Amino acid sequence: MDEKLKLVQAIIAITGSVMEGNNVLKQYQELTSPKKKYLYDKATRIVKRHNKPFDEAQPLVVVDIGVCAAEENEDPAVILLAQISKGK
Amino acid sequence: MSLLGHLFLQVRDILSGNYDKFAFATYEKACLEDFKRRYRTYNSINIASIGFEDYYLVYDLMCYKYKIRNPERYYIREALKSFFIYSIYNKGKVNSIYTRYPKKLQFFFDQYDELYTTNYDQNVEVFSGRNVGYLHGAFNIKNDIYDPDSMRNKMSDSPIKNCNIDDTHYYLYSNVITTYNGYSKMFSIKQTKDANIAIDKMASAYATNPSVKAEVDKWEKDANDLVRKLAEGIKLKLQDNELKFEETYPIQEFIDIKGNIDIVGLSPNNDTHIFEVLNDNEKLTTITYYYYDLAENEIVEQLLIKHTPIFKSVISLWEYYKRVK
Repeated sequence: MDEKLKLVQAIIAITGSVMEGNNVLKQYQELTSPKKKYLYDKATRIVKRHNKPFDEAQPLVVVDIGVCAAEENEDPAVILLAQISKGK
Repeated sequence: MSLLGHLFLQVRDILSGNYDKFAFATYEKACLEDFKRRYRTYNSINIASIGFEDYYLVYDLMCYKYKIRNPERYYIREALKSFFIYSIYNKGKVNSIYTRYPKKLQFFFDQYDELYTTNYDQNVEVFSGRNVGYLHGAFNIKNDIYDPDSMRNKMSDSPIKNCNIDDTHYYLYSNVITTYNGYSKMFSIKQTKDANIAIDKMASAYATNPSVKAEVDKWEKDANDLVRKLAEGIKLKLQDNELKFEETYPIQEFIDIKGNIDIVGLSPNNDTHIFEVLNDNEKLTTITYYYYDLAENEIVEQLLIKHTPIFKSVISLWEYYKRVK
């Protein structure tokens, strides 16, 4: 498994996404650059809001990333991938 | 909020079958299979994709897995319920949906002798100006345990004793039923009625049968809390024959319906207990089910096997009342 897919699998586990890793990557790559940047900004605000130890932060991030995913009609893993990839 | 995140994090495991060994009762197994059947079709799921009642199934399964037991299991569940009820009530906005109903929809409600709903809001009641039976409770009907004058609160462990009621959020203390399966819903609906019948019979037997009296007297010191409470309830009833648990769900009236019934907006997936009541009702002559999706009809036919339901499109129904002058 290549490094990118390993990272995506970790993101899937963190967000509780049910999407296959390849599909997460594909969906992210299909986003336009402005949309990637937009999702990065939105997800970064969520991550910063829950600046706590991982165990405490994860379920809270899951809720807010989930709400963001619903608003943006994207998968939760795609949203967090945008944050980790810095919208690039 | 953290609890909701934890619940959502279980969904992937549930769909993978990793929770199968934590469903014990028949209804839990059936609901788990139904959950998997419905959500496995999704390519992508977010926290809002899961129906709110389905989170209760996830919660129960999690309780089994992580050995969360009563009273904590109950308290956490009540907190989860408050969270959902607060959201659905939406600062009262839920009760103003009727302002968007077509005016002529009034004619639709006028043709019925009785109206029942499984919704918690008062839209149908306010719009139609008619009495409505709230089969799953209503935001404005108080739960027995939050009524200081209820029989429940006359008992020694009065649940209201340690409760600070905030009347500005009255709907959080209502009798609304939120659970994922029909079996539990029907249990809650019938609970007070069944308790009243049992207490009546036991009180009568206590007064007339010395061996029952001796047995009930022993129950007062029983190790089982439920048995002790039953004895206390019987003694209270003997002191005041008018005392009874408040029956806030119109289930008997619904069971006794005669003639024709039209069903609009009821899910054959989550409300099977309602369909069971209708299926067992031999006094019904016609059942008309308004479907949104044709796929519902096959399920409804199976649920109403003793009848021959008529199927009509709910979309056409709403279109008609939008058009009619």
